[in-house]
Amino acid sequence: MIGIRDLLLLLLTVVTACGGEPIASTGGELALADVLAAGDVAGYDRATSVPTLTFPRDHGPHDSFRTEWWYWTGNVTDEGGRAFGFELVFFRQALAPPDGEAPRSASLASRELVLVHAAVTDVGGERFHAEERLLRRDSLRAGVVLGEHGPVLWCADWRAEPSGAAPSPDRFPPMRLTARGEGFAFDLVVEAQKALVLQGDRGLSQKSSEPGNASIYYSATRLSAVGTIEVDGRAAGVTGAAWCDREWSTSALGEGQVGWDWFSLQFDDGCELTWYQLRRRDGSIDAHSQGTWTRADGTSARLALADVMAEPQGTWRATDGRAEYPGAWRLRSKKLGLDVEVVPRVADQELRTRVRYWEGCVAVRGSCSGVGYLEMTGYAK
Amino acid sequence: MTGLLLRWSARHHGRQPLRSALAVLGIAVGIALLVAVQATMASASAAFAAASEALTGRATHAVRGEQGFVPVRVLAALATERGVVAAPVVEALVQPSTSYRRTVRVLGIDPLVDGLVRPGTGAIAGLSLAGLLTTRGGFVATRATCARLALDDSGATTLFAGGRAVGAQRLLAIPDDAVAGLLDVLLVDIATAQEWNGREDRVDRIDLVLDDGVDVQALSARLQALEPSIRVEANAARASFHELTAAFTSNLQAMGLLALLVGAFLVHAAMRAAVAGRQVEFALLRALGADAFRIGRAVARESVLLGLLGSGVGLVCGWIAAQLLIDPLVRTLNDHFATFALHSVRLDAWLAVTAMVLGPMTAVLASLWPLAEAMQAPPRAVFVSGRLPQRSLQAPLWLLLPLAIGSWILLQNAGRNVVMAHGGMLLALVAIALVVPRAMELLLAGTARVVANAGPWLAYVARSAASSRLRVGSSVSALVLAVGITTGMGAMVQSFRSSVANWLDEVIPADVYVALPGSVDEREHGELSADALSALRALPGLAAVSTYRPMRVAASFHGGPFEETSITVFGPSPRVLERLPLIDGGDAARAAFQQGNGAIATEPLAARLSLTIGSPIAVACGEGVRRTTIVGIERHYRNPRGELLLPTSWFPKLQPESLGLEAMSGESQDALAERVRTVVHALPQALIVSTRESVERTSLKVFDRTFAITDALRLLCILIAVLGIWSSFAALQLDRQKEIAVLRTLGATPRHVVLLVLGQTTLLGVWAGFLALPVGAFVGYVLATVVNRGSFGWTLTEFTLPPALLWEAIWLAVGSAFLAGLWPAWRMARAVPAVALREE
Repeated sequence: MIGIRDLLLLLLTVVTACGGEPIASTGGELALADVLAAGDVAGYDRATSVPTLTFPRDHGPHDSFRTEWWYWTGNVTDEGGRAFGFELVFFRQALAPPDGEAPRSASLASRELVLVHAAVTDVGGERFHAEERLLRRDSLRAGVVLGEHGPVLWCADWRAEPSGAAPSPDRFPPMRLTARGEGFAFDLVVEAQKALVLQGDRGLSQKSSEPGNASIYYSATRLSAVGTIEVDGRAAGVTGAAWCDREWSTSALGEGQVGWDWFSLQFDDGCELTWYQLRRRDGSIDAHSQGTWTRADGTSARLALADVMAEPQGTWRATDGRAEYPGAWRLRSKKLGLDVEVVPRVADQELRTRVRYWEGCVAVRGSCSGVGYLEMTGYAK
Repeated sequence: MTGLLLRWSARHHGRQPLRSALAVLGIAVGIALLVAVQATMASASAAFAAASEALTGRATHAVRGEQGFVPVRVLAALATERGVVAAPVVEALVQPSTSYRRTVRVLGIDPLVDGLVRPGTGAIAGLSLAGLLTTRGGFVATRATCARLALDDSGATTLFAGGRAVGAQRLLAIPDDAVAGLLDVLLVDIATAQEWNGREDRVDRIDLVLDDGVDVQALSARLQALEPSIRVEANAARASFHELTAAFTSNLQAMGLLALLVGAFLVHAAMRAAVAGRQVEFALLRALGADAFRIGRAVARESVLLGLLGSGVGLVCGWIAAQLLIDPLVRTLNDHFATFALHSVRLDAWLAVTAMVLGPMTAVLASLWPLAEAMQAPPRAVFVSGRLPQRSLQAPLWLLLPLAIGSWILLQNAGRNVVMAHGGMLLALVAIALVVPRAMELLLAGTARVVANAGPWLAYVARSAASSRLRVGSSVSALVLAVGITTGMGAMVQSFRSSVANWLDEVIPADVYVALPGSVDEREHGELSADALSALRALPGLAAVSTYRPMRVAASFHGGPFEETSITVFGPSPRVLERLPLIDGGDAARAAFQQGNGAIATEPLAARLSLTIGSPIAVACGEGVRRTTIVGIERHYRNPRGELLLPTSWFPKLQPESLGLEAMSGESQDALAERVRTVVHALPQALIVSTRESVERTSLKVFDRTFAITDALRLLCILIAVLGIWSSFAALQLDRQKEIAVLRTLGATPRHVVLLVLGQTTLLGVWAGFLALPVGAFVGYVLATVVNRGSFGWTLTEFTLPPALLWEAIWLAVGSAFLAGLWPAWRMARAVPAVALREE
């Protein structure tokens, strides 16, 4: 999965690496090209070849790469059928490559940041709450480490940690996700229902033609989710389906890419679709846009740009008028025999955090039905 | 008639531009003073507030440790608390390799969260976030600080932190006025500060911004369960900061008010001169049928115009004067309260409008009285004598009694209320100003009688001075007040200085002192190394050692809430203990303190918190909270907020920050100092060695710097008085052109005229000087005994009025008056008698 993660973190790098320049000078909308130009990749490892992944080791952090994330989204309902969406994402971002010197003695020394976004959508109440946390990775207030069974991630009071061991190495370990923000909270256990799916070429996800502009990328496309969600003080026991993406890279984006639309859809027949398309400045879709079709039995197939056509349907304008997103999407694929409409379950699921983007739960209707998550970036004016 | 009056006004001022200019000058001087003081104080106060905001920010609470640090696991625990913003702070001191004595304060913060507590500092840190986090020794500092560190182009340098050399790298040089409170501060990431400070797993404190709903008690309990030595305190620093500034500001404003009083008299004098010189014209207009209202309106119109002009000039001059006042003011504030920078004074619109309204208003008010007098006098009487009947010009002496009573009541009941103290003094000064013309009248009449037989010229000088007394009454009052206030301020400063000198004598009984470099506030963050301590204690020829460790802890008084309190953990030698200047408690206090059975409060703290012997206190120290009582009150002039002296036995793990070393009898102080220097030189830790004399000298130097602002105000007061008296005398002499011309036609030479004018003004000056003496004594006494105690809780052990100061007062008055007479004398002597007679 490529998406807001790169923009967020590259943006963060630009803002923080600019040294003598005031923050204000980086204000306003940043062109993607500027973001990419600023990234200095020297000193980091790059994703240049098909990885050999070993689990649970690779569920933990990869400190030699600059950027990494653990990304959970899901659609759940309570006993009364009330639907909710949730998102919890932990980013690890290095500000400088390891300098080769002796480790620093200070307990608060760190050259990495942990940025976390959490959001809850109350579909029936048409409410959407989102917050972020940003701290240094000092392993006191915020950290990403490999625990006995899997990744242990925390930032202030938000946490994601294994609630047990994975039943087999090819499955993501069961995780407990907890977060509490202004007007929302969740405490969920997500457990893998399928084997991990390696995205791209056996886990190497090429994002542009330049060697190394790629990430290591795998997903747990179907997890069960059980727990509680609280919105505006009302808690509800919920169950449903969730999704987890794991990705790490040092540089991933190509020049001229201005935004992207990313779909993670779970169909009622047990299949899943990962699809992202990178939009170029000239309005065209980048050739490196791609996806994966995961069948009910857990087998999967790569999808190339020509395999899926995604068309925006209508528009949704942010309340302050500063961003305009597609209102819905139509996804068609002859190869998959797919023709579906992807409709946001609540129109306003825009995260107005450090970087503005839209990410929210969606309903899928058409040749197949289901639910999923959609992320749209690069639409802010 | 209105047209006629307008033309009359215009012609009057056109014919006598100089006199009009003098009236304008009088107003300008008064307004300039107001603007200078108000603008300086407003700018200083804004800079203060900004500095305060920069340092304490929005923090509502702070987590502090009893040993002066907080383990980082407390920070981790706070991160999971709801409604809590927790910003860790580590402060350190470093020395540039280029300067042994100079230290630079290091402020270590977490740039990612600090903006939520200290927006200014957070924003500055955010400019170089990645650099701060990832560069070892990376810092952000003002350009001035970078220049002081003598950095080369690379920005890399070596600093000494706790005696160790550490590499430092400039990441960003910000403009000097970017954020108040960052003057002489290296802003670094918290991890860098931890490393420089040698506190790798601790922070000094954690500033908190707590949401309203957070239960502080419960939070404190949760954290204490984790780490018993820490405490959550309400942020007292902010309140105390305002409290501090309030006392200081009200003092300065009062001084400004006193100066304004002088100015008001000058405006009055100027307008009175402008109106009084036209009595014959008023009489003529009234004889022609103009009623009092119309004349009044015409004069009021003139006054408004003169007032506006004077205000404009005053505004500009005041602004310039304010620029001159800044430096001494900022120096004083930096010495005592907080480090902040202020480079220029801003004139806010409100002050400008006030000045522009106040000038014309004062001018109109000041012209009303002389005008009313002119209107009351029968025109015929004025025609005949050419002036008003004497009786009508008397000051309203009946006001004296209520003023005196009011002043007495206010001064008696002022206590710690500075405003009341100043109010009482102000009322007394107004009463004095009213009585001065009458006193002057008596003195001059007496002089005239005494010198009546001493030759015609001397007699004439005395008589003409006596006859002019009413015309210059207000200016002379202003001169008396200005000189009196100046003398009073001088007396207060002198008394204060000798009290401090006596006190220093008492509290510096040791021969040699060894301390960490930096100011006392800065030294709170450091301690002597174990090597230094053992090497110094082992010195030969050493009789006794006293130890000092200034720091801040949480303390509660009278069972109230815990608040941050300055303390000195004090391990006195028998001699030092014996000479401790106790106001209350005596030997019992000394014994109790030595046995660790109580605390000693300094006088300002005792005054601020109403502490007496036996007052219950609770102090969070190394072994938990210790509940005890105050056993003694110490006279203490250093810290205006006051502090507690606590026995070393309460802080067994704490190392001292400075030592007082006493030489064995027969051992010379210099020899001991030399040996100490040799030992210290060999230590890796940078330490300052001072002898008793040098400590005393340095302390008094700081004291003198503190009163630099007072000196500046004194100077301003005198300058204004000289200008005012000059304008008043010039106006007086210009009014006497006819008289002088007549004298000239009778055979007086220009030399005679010069002697006459200078003799007259000097005589007025001499008596003004003498009248200023009691005024000075009164002002000095009130400042020293009522205001100082009210503002800072300091009782001065001495009130001195040195003869030199009294002579200075007389010379000031005489000199001012003499100088003020020079120009009119020169002009009068040059005037052609025939022309003067014709013009009149």
